[in-house]
Amino acid sequence: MRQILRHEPKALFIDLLYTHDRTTKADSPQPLINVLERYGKRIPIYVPEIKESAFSSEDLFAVTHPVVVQWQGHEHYYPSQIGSIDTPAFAMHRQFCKQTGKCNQPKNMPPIAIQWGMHLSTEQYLLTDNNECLGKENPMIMVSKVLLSEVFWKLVPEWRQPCAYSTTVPPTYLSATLSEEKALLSTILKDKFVMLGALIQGARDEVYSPVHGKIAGVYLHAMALDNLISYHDQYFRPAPTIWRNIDLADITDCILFLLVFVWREKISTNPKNMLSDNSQKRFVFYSALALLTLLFTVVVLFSYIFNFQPINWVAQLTLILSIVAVKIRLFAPLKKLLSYLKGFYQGEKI
Amino acid sequence: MIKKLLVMLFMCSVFGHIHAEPLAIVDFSVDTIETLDSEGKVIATVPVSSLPKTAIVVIEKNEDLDLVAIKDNSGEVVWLDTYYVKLNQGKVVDLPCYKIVTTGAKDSRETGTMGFGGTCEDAN
Repeated sequence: MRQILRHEPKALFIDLLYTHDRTTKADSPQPLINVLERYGKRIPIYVPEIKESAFSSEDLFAVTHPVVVQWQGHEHYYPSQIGSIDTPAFAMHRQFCKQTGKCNQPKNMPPIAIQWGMHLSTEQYLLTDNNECLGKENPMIMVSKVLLSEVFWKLVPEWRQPCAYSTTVPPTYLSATLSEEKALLSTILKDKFVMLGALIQGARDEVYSPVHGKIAGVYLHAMALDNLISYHDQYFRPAPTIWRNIDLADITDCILFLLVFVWREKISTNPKNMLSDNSQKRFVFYSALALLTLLFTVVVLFSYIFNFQPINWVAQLTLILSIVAVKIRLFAPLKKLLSYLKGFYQGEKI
Repeated sequence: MIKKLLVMLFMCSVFGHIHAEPLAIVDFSVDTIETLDSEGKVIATVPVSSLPKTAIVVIEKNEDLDLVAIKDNSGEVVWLDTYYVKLNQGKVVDLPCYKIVTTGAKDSRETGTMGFGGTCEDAN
């Protein structure tokens, strides 16, 4: 902690829960309290507030800012506050807004539907050996790989970026003595929002990221702060709840499904007439076009106008495929085979 | 034979003397510096010009807290953070190229927990 604070970051969040006092007579917490007092006056230090701590709040936490890191009932979303206390990302973003004047963060902001980054920062390549990470692939290719592994999870191996998006400094690097290494550390830490976290064997503090798999909990806070600084108040959030757990996005998905199925039903009632008559062909084409436009409009409206979390892409893609399949008769050979097999089976019976 | 031994003894004493050169502060990387107590508590923030002129002999070093003790102009012992001073000798930490920590697969599980160690036994 001291080694980070020396580099004068903008703020430091310590993602450690000071629950148990494991100090001994020879190793008192006083040096830690002194570090907090020494730097806490000029650098905001955020420390998780916990219900039961062996430490007195007057000494260890006197100059630090309390934040909340434990919550429930928010599904996979990142809340802004629990009670009246900010979560780390929102507390740091509030400080960012105050210092830069670029944004304004009112109280009671909706939770964040976190968007996880894929690429590593350029600084990361100066710090660590990243051979096990995925390189700088084309974003479209990466997105396609993610979609493929989500849709065909049984057939395609799980796709994930095994390295965190946020710049990660190994703790031993903080003991650097060479001037070049110290200078590099300074460029990475000075005037930055720094988070200190640990992934300790036997005390796993992990969250699930659709991009990375299981990842240390501190990266959740880092990614939430990154979303806030990147999108400000236009970050992605859950769609408003309509009834119990059902939100606007679920209802919209259902309506779109119903529309597509009604449309498909109409087309499939008499497909031969539909596709031979010119006016009917036009109807199929324009109605399909209208449906596709409606789908894309909903996606754009939800994601970029209302900033709701991206709609269920897999469901939408299935719908699009379902519409396009009628036009291009994607499953015609399969249907033919099925009807042939059915006929063959009935013939055998007779 | 005796001559050789005398030369060896002389060389040892010379090298021993060089090695025993006292640890000293030769420069500062800041204009003002915090003076601390032995546990790192801030006593005051002073301009480095108000401290004795370099090289300032270090009378004690705390490796754990990265602090060095010197005597100020009034003869009081004060501690300084080694990050802001340049010493005439010091350790060099060799940093190998660390492999970045990789994340776990979706189905990775850890079904054991960390023990509390011996401190709890000491406390009871």
